[in-house]
Amino acid sequence: MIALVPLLILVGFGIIALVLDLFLLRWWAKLSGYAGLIAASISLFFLFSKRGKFLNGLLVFDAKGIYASLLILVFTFLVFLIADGYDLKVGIVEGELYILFLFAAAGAVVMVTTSHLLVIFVGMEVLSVASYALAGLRKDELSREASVKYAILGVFSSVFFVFGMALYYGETGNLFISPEAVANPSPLMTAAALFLFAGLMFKASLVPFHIWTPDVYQGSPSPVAGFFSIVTKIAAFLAFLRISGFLVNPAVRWFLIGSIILTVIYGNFVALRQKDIKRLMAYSSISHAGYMAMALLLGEKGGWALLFYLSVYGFMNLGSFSVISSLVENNSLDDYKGLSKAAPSLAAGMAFFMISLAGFPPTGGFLAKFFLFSEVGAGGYWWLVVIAILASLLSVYYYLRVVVYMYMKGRVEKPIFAYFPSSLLAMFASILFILELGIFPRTLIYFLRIFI
Amino acid sequence: MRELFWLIPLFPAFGAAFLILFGRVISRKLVSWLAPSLVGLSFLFSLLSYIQLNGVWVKELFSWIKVGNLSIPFALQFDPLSSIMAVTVSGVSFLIHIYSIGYMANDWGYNRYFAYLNLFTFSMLLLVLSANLPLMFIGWEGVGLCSYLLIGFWFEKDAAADAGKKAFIVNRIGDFGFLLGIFLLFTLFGNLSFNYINSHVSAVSPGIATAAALLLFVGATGKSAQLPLYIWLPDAMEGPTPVSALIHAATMVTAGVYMVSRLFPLYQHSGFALELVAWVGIITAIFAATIALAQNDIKRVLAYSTISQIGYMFAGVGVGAVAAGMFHLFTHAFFKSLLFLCAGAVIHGVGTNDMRKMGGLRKAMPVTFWTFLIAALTISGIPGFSAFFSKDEILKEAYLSGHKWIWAIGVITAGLTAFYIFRLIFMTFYGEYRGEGHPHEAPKVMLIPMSILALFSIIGGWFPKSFAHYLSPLGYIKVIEASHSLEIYLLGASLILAIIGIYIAWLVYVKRKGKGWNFGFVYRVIYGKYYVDELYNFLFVTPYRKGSELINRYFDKGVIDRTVEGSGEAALGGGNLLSKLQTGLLKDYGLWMATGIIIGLFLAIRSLL
Repeated sequence: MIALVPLLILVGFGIIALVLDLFLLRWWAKLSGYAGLIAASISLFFLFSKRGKFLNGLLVFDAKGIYASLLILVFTFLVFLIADGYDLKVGIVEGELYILFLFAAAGAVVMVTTSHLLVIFVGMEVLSVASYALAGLRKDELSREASVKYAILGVFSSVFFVFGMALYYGETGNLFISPEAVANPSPLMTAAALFLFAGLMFKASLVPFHIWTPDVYQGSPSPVAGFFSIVTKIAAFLAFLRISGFLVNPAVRWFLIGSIILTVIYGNFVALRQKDIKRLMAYSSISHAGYMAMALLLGEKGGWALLFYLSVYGFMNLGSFSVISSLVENNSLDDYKGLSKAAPSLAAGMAFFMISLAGFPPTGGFLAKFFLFSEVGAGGYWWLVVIAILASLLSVYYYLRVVVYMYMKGRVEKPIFAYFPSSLLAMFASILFILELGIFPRTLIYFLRIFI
Repeated sequence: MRELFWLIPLFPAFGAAFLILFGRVISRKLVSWLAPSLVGLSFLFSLLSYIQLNGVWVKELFSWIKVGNLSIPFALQFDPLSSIMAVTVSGVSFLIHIYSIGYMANDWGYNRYFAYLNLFTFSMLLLVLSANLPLMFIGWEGVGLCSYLLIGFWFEKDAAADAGKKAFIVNRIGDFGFLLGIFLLFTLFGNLSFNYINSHVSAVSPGIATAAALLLFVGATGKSAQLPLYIWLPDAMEGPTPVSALIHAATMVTAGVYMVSRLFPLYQHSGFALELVAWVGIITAIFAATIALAQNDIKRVLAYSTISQIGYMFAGVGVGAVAAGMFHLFTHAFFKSLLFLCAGAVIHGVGTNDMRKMGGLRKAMPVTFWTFLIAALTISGIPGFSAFFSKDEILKEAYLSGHKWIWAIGVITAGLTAFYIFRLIFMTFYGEYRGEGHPHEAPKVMLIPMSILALFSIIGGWFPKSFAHYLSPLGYIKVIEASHSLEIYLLGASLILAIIGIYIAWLVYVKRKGKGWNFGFVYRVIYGKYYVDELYNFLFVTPYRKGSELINRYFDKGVIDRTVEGSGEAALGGGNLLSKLQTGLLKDYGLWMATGIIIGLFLAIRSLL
């Protein structure tokens, strides 16, 4: 039962918020959301000493599950900070934004703390349904379009996943992921693996299941896009890690490798031409998903590099989205012209995140890429690393282009932006963590390598 | 002091940092107190450490670089060799800081000047006190940087900016060799501390030791202005005169000699490298001395004289007499910085560098005249003055070690030295005043350091025991005793030539007033400095520039730029093409995902067949 505590806290505070919101106590509803995240994070610390399987093995609170859950909660907290202030500015007056974030986070936590396919699916659906609603929260054409597209394609991918589960059940007679079962290269298992992978590749935005990403990011409210870019990815990659045993099957492995190659090339190339910052971030997130998926090829051994990358990536991406939110949906790159004069702190923050995303030292973005690439290279995939590095060279162009727009292009009228105090707090916190992880990564790496 | 000597370089480091950060806002008065007194503290600490020194002190402050099997501690070493350098550097630097208060009083860059000067003192002290080669290299590059900054101190003057650039580029050539030498030593020994290398030289073959020693010596010829890389030093005289005295006479340019002495066992093991050091030194000595004969710029005469005297030091170290070389380095620091400070006082008084516009200054500037005369007598090797002992020591050791030719060239150079320095004295202080305006004596703040240096120029050589005795704890310095009669003959030879030199100078420039002596072609060649600068221009600079232009035009613009721009355009085009795939239509998106799973299934089926 103890394993349910974090989930119960999240859902419980979500329901309290729902009730409060019903009585138009919007501020209290938001507070309940913050409280839920903090309380659930604290409960994770207590759970850490009681690691193991719970509820007949349906929930697995191991070190990587707990660490990933913590990441999910921390990043959701950052998303809260980013959304706080932004929401009223764009006319989202109901408190349901925070309630949906809480439920989505609960779904993500379920996904990362189980090794049972049905439970993964339940978590994924909780996360997805909340996400579809989140994408459509802004009341305009683009947002609604994003919501519908995400929902229809999301259901499509869920069908793949369910079909994969059915095939898996047909072969093994249960839905627990066991090492012996996934290593079985029978035709039925291969097909099962492909369908399960397809479902998760959709969530992680890997080519060719990435196709929803740019439209949905562009249409969703900026904090929500930030949430999709990291929390959904953490959940998907952790679930991926649990079924990475399938990769001993060459057909499945080559399916993933082919997808990785297409992803890093496609993501980076198309990002070069984007004029909309959120589409640019979408393609950037596709490329990063490609890099991270390389760690899956190593199975459990790549886990620490993947988690380190996710930790840094979350701060870089949410940091950028804190700035993007501050420009209240003026998302064309042209809107960033002259930002360095009008809002020096926002411009400097954005420049820092872009540099980190491009992977320059001494930012965490550099170390994350370095550890991931060297680990994958040491695992025998040097040629794949070479492709990824060549493709990532292109990314320098589009990341620095944002900096060029902010610093080197002036314009007559003033850029439109607003300083949201909590969003600025999120920005500075992200900068701090990126520098911390970039300069003193030792503690985290020590932790990850010991426990994962 | 054993636990505190590592503070010696830190005082000026603090001063430099403070002046660079706050130099714009603090008053000149504060700078005038702060900068010299910090260097004074360094001097005090050096002196106290020197007095208490026994054996070799090594202090490891922290582990600086640790990568793989390369481990370099930030370690300083205080031993007989580095103690002499530390005392000399901090002492001379202290006096020159004080002199600069007067000399730079009216300069708009006063605070910047002292920031650089402090930074230089720090780098130089780091260079001499470092216990390993990489740390020495930091100091080595640091003094090079300060030299560049101070030569080009009056950067609004084209000549100064060009001279700074020239010094920097020529030194880079040398430093490249130095760096390669460090790399080679690391692969040979796996440890770059001086003590380790010196005690393990026998482990490598003499051939490879020669290679390493010569690479390091390339660096030394650059920094210490020896053939063939001496050409930057005369131009370096564009900097302020106290800088010329400190950096380009007393301290930095002797770094090469110090380095060779520091790694003497390596050079000794090689044999050939040591011989080459001796010959490069002595040929530079006579070569530069002849150029000095015909120069009319007072500072250029001294610059060539510096090159020549450092040549002596290398010759001394090269014939195996480290102690004699270091002894001459020690005395030279005093008399040569004195010569420069006197020249500075003269320039300060008459407002020109050109000796043809001076003359008869004896009456207007009596203190300067007397101190200048003391320095001139010292450099000429007149008995009783300090350089007499040190130069004699070098020549004696050269003779005793069987290098008779080196001895002979050295004696002739001594004659030339006496001639050019007294030519300078006679042209400046005797005869009629040939310039305009009213020459006047320098202020006290300049005269006091000059007088102190004059005192040291005289007594600097009066050591009760030989230098070799003091250096012997290092383990590789041997003390040779010569018979007294031989010593007197050797002494006599150089003394006679020196007196002849002075006499000819008197004859030409006082008695005949510089008229009626024309050597024609020879004079023109010497006056044109053997046209070495022109030769280098023809051989290296012009072809390099032409080649660069060609490469720029054809290779850089044609090949590289086109490749870069082309690949950039190709990437953008690719992006354009791929982004067409994003149609925005839901049915197309569904098709993408279906295609993906179909390809997957195709792969699965293929693997079954």
